[in-house]
Amino acid sequence: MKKNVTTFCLLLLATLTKAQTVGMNCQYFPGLQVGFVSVKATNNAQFSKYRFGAATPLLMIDRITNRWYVNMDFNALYYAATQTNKANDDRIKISKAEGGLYAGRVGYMFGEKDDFRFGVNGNIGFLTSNLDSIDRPLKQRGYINYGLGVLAYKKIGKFRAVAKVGYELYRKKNFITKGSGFYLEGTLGYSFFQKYGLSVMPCFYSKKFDYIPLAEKSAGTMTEAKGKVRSFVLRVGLTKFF
Amino acid sequence: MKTNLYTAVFLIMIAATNRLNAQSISYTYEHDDPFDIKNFSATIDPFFIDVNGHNGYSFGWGARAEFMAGKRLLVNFDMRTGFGTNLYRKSNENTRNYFNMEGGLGLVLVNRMKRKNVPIILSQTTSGNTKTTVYIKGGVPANCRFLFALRGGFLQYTNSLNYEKIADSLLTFNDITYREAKTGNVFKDTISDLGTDIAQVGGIYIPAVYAGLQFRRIRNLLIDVSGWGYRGNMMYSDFYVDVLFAPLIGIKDFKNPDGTTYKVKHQETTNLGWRLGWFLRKPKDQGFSFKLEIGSRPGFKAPKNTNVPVNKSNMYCMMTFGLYIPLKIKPFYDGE
Repeated sequence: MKKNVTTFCLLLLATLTKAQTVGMNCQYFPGLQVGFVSVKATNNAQFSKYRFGAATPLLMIDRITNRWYVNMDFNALYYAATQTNKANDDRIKISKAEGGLYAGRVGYMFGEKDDFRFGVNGNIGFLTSNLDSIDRPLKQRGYINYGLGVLAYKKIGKFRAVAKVGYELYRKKNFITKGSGFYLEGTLGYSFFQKYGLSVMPCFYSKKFDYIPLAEKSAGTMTEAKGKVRSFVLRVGLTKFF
Repeated sequence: MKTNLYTAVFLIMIAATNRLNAQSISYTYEHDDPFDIKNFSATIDPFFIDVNGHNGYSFGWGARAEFMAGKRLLVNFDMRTGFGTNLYRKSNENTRNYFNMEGGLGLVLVNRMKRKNVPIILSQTTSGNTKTTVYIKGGVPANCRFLFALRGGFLQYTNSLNYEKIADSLLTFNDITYREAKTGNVFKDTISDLGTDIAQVGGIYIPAVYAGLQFRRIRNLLIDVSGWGYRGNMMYSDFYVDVLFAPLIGIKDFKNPDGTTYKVKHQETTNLGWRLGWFLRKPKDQGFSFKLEIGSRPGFKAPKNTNVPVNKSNMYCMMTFGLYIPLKIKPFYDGE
């Protein structure tokens, strides 16, 4: 038994030691983003279409190491928190909260070379999209997401690049009756000083929903509407390189 | 029954013996050098909270940096700005958003290393309400670095101010006491026909200098414990005590919608305040750093009829955290 434990520890140690040379940690804690979000709805009495600039502040971590991929996304929650001063004074025209209230991904990376990894990941969390044209971010309704994705990591000279693709399903009782979406994310990182640098992350998200608008839910009629949310954002933040 | 009792006692004794045996462990040092550190750290704090007597609470984001610029010099910087300042939204004219910025230097007087036993946790388990921690008995000898410094610097602070928390006989509006102002037209919107009440809130500004003592402890121990794996005791922590001196306690003038501006004054102010603070990070690796501060800002004097001369309106407790970047930067002042 002791022998097995020792062997396991040594193997784990070998994995951790290797992790020092492969991967990067996008520490958008906080980070910034620019881009847009468009929301289209059919059969919604309140609106049919609107578009707004993406929320600027981010709170997320996207970490690839030798064997593991971990993503933690609190972007929508953090944006909502940063708007507290304005939101309570009705100074916000439209809530820009889009994405994770608290969501995450965990994946396993395959490959032995120092400059390449390929992996698969599972996603689960609680997201939000402004499907009700609400102006107070913390009043937005959230929904559960779960799905799968694949990703690849490549080291090119002093640059590190990552590409991610995934498919997700969305559900929430009395809100989302049916929903699905996909995402494409890329990352390009460059180390400037002692293992630390910057990375940019262009991301595209497309989501489709059959949902019950808040007004319908409040009225008790529960008439369904269809919604499409598309967003394209460019994220920037501090990054650690392994 | 008696046999069962003996058996139980015997089993407990065996268990205790095994536990004692578990302490006969061997370990090897991986590293134990508190001078092998990253001497600079920069942090962007996504979240802080300051619970205080001025407006109740404020939360927001901040940025911090600290630098051991040599054997004799410490540098620190801290900035925080609110995105959730309580009462700030109550007025577009009279309140201020939370903001705190400070920077200072420390002159190291003692910078020594001592070998002493430090605790090493082998395992920690929780079952129900019982938490069991297994330590290496007596600890492990480690090199512990200790720094003692005199420190000082500048600080400025703004926040919203809840008048209702201030003594209403000492706070004046154009020489009318707050107690009287509350019943008059100072807090009434006389422009609108409804004569609605105006929020009784304002803003405060405190520029200050601070001076105090700073105690820094650095441990950088990592051992390989036979049968347990790698265990460590790594710490880079500061404890500081400061006295704050504010030449000015600036309370923002109060503006009524009818255009009248009231000069707001507190009749009895104190220019002195104090604070205690803790700061924690790892000596070399990246991670989260925490800072906790409690104290009393310069401001309003305590009422004379109280036994303890502390005014709760000046008290505060602030906690902030963030992911820091540790860097090794060439020191520029050794003081020798």
